[in-house]
Amino acid sequence: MNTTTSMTLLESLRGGGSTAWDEFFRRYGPMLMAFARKSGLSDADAHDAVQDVLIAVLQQFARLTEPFDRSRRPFRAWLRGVARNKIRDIRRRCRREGPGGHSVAEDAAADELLDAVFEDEWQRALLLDCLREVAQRVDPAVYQAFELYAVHGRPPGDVSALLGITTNAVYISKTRVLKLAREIHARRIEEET
Amino acid sequence: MRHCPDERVLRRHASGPVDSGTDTQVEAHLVECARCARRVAELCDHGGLLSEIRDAVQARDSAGPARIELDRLERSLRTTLFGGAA
Repeated sequence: MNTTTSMTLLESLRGGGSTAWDEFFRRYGPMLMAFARKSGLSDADAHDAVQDVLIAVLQQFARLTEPFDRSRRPFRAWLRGVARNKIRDIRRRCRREGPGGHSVAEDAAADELLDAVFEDEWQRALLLDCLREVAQRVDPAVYQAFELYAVHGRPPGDVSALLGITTNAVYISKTRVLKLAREIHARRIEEET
Repeated sequence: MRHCPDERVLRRHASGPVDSGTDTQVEAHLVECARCARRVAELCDHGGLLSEIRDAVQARDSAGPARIELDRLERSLRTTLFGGAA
């Protein structure tokens, strides 16, 4: 399922069904939650924001009579708009309940900041999704060696002993996984544009 | 390949596609030579992708409480949307 392209996933989502929903949630739920939290919402408000965004996405896709037209607007920009508006609504509601007000210029600056936070989280989510695809395509020991050595910085000798492979195999694992991750990442970026 | 390939060959191997099928001699050499295997692993780490991967994995691994909250949200939404069907 990890190799599902974004467009295939969106088309499945349009058709309804819980399998597409599961994949959609796995792919976008964590990044939306991180986005909401880093936008300054409380835990409860972040929960509500993500719930509202996901329901809005499902409802809007269910209403589509034709496939999502990414040439008009890429899905990423569309989702960013939905999520940003939801978070902005919640922030405004909080401000109404609290002291002070904000000018239009301050709101615009806040929107820019929200977009930047969204982009960071989107990129992180994309990379993690690429890694999931890599993990499906290589031997488990190769992927584990990569994570332990290249990501977590464990000494190659330790990784070698832990996984029962040669030190050379640890180095080769890093090379193989990184190359594959780069290829998948480039493909996914291409799919988005 | 009895001798270590020169830096250009290692560099080309590090930046080439994952399954080119043309570098079998180099690949066989890397299995035998720790120095070259380590060098290619270093050369492969270009463009900042590994640093971004580390950042993403760290963020994922440190999202423990958020993960619990997310699982709760997923269950709740699934029940609302699909009546709890698996």
